[in-house]
Amino acid sequence: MNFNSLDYFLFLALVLGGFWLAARSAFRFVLLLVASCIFYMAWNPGYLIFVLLSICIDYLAATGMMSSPDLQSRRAWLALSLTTNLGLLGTFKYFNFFSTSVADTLNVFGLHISPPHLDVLLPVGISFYTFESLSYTIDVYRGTLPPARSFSRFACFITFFPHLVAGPIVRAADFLPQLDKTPRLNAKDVGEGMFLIATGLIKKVIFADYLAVNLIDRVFDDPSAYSSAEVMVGLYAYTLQIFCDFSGYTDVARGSGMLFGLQLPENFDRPYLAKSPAEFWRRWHMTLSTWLRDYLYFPLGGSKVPPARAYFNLFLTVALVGLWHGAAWTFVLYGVIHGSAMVVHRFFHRRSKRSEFSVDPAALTVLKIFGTLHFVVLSRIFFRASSFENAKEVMRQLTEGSTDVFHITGSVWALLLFGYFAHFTPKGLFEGIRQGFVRLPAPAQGAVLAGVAGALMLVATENVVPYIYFQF
Amino acid sequence: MDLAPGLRRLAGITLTLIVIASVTYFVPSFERVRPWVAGEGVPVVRLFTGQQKHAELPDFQGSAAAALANPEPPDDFVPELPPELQETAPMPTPGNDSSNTPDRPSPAAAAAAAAPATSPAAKSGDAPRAQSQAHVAPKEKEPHPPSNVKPIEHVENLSAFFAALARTSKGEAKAITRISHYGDSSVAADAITSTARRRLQQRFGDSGHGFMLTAKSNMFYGHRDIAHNESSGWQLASIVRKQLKTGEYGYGGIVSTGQPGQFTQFGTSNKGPIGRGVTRFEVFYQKYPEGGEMGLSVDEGEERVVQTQGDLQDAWEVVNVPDGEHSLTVKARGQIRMYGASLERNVPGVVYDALGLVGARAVHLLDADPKHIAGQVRHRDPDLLVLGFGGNEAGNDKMSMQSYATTLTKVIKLMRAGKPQMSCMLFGPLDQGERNARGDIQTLAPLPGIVDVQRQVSKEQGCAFFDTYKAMGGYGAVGRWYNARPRLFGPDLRHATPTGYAIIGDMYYQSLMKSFADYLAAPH
Repeated sequence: MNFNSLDYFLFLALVLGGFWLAARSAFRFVLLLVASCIFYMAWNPGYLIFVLLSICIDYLAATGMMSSPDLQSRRAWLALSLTTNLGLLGTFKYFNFFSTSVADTLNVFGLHISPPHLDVLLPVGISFYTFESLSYTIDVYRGTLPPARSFSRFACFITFFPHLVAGPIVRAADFLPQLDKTPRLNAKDVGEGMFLIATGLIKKVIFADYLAVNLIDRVFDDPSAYSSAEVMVGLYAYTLQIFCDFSGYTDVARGSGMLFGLQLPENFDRPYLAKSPAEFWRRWHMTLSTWLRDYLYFPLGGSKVPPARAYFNLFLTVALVGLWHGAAWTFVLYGVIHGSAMVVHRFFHRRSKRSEFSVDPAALTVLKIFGTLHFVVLSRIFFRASSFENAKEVMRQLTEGSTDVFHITGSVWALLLFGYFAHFTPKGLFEGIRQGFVRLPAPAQGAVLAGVAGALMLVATENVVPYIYFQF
Repeated sequence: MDLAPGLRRLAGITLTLIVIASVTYFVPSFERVRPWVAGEGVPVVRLFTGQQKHAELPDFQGSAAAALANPEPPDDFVPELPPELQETAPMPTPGNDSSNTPDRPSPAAAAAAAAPATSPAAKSGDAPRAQSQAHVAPKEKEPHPPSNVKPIEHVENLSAFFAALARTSKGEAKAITRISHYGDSSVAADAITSTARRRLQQRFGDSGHGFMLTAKSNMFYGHRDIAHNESSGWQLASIVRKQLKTGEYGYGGIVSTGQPGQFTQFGTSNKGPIGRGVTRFEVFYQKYPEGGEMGLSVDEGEERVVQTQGDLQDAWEVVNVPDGEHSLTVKARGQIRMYGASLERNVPGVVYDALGLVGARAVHLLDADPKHIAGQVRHRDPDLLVLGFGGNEAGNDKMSMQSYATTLTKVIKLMRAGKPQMSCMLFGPLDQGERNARGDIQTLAPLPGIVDVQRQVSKEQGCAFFDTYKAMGGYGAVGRWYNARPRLFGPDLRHATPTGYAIIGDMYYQSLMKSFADYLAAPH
């Protein structure tokens, strides 16, 4: 059930109706849980069992931790949670990758083996709900979060359908307290939620899908058919597409959540304005970056260890971001590139003895933004390429030196220019538009939303383009 | 209370949306923005019943869906385009000379299309009804006004194909007529070809789905009327990407390398009357020194192991099964290189291989090793070679038409080398467009020139020519198709919608049948 479909909005309307009718009773949790299960089953009914398994084990583990008198038992419960969640994730997402990689490595040394292969599909959203569920058990283990007050509340937190499939990665500590309160809805939240949904759909349908179908997919399918300049424009377009696609999804998720009176965290802060790789990861997919910081980087020692170890911690954390996205060497390389860049940046930054937040002259700021943006654009080759061969083709074509741009249509140029312009425009401009919308009376808001929906229907690509992050 | 204003606001917005959505059903000019139209399935419920908007071709007069719903089409059945889509006077652009393509069809128009259909698969795997001789129904001899049926040019070059089709039509034993249709994204998506395949198989008999690539080469690659499933991880080398120095991409232009444990599965369709049976699976693969074992199992039964290690050479492995619904699983037990597989039935009929590659241009085929591709084509033994390129070339307004003609000539010679006696046809590109400074949709500038070159080269090389561009309505058709209701062309102005592709497929089929009727009527 894609967010950019009539099915989703009818479903949302039905669930909202039921939810607010039952808002003052505990039945609202049952209703949300059932609705979220139906939402998930629209993709793959069978794999719901793994979501429910994760939920049951983690609820049990957290409850067990609370009733355990000693650290040993608490550790055992945590181990159960980690083993189950990471075991499922590893089996479905990484088993074939690692078994094939091991076999390939042994082949190099003349040892020929037939690695085992699992003929399974990746459960939708497994990378997201696994991390959400783990945040709960780890926080309870650390004693920073009390266990959920009921199973249904905890299950609602994991399965809440707006964030179930592609995030943002919600923390139990942020979400469970909201569920404990009687839900409230005011007119401002409704307006802001609707505005977020509309902007999310515009990002997805007008920018992401149009650029994908009309340029990006073509360039990556056959780089040799395009000039160097066109391939470069294709990379700029992909950089904009992935932002519009993922942040568009997040906007719709957050907007939908607000209509239930529930706040989901922001996931992006205009990432292409970053002045360094480190800042980029503070602005891009923030809920993943902060998750890895809190549950991996800090436990490894963070930066409060000898310098060499600190660099290693940083590198490992960022490199794992690549692997989190997909079980392929292209993603590993993507993570390694970013991890290395972070290490190099930190090394020189420490030598310069300047604060991360010190103010640069305007020209230097522009230069840093330009450099960081192009680092991101070029590293995305490995994120988007279907294989190393494909990535090599793109790079080969990129360095060929041809400058024709006749494959780029006027509408693609227009979307690229407007998209980047909007990204670099001061927040205040869009804030004004948002506040203007929120102040409109309900019929006027409805009319604006209907106009947006109609416009999107006219420009939507014929084939629904799935959200990029669904595959992760 | 905090709740009431928020809920009132939510209700107000929802009510406004419902009212505005309702208006679109009463005001015809808002037809395109109706949130839901009949036939799309019940929203939400359709997600669980597989009743998706794009899952099937839409029903309209003349569509494949309509044809399948009526196994015995009426004798005078001719699909009609909406009047606004019918050809208008072409603008005087270079290469848009229509003088050599008369619009008026012969009296025997659409002859074979009207003959009784044979739909063996529709009869639960029964052998197709044999016909004593090829014939045209009485009504077919009456004049038709098939305004949308554009004749195929240089039709005399299809005689070998029509001779095979006549044998098939008579129900001669083992008379299978094969068509190899190479092309770009519209063929990769089996968009036009699925309509042609369904119509031809319904008319002449279903001899199987034909060839399919090992693994999905692109998100838009997919065939109708076949069940195909594959594991992840196949490494694909495509002729479009020029990824191999050897030029050995196989019959379908993509070689897939599988590692131990990876699999691909081909099976008969489980819905509709077409593609329901198979008697012969054939795996196209390569033997090479590092090749490993390949496991073949029918209906997930006992596995037969085939060794792919050996001197470098193309190889084929046949698996025969009783006529009916089956699946073949090909599993890599070691590293294997596979081109694809074909599904056929040993009954008279038509097999239509859709060999499309997203982003393909004719020049890409020249990257194939001549000896290798000749061997592949020779083994497949088609009666008609169709080359459907030009769509991707049309985006290049700096392309030299002279060099394009030279390339196209080389491609035809290369692809025919494996079986020189087969018929050949160029399938012209669809009209495609872009918006000018005023926002009006206009045909891409190089397109008429490309069509002109294809017409000329097909004549020189002894091939027939189907002018898709002209059949769609000539210059500016893309705008009319885009603005049609339902929309027939996508907003990218490069690809048709499923409905649009189905109409083109029907026009192509009708044109073939009209030419076939003329062939039958002529003395031999």
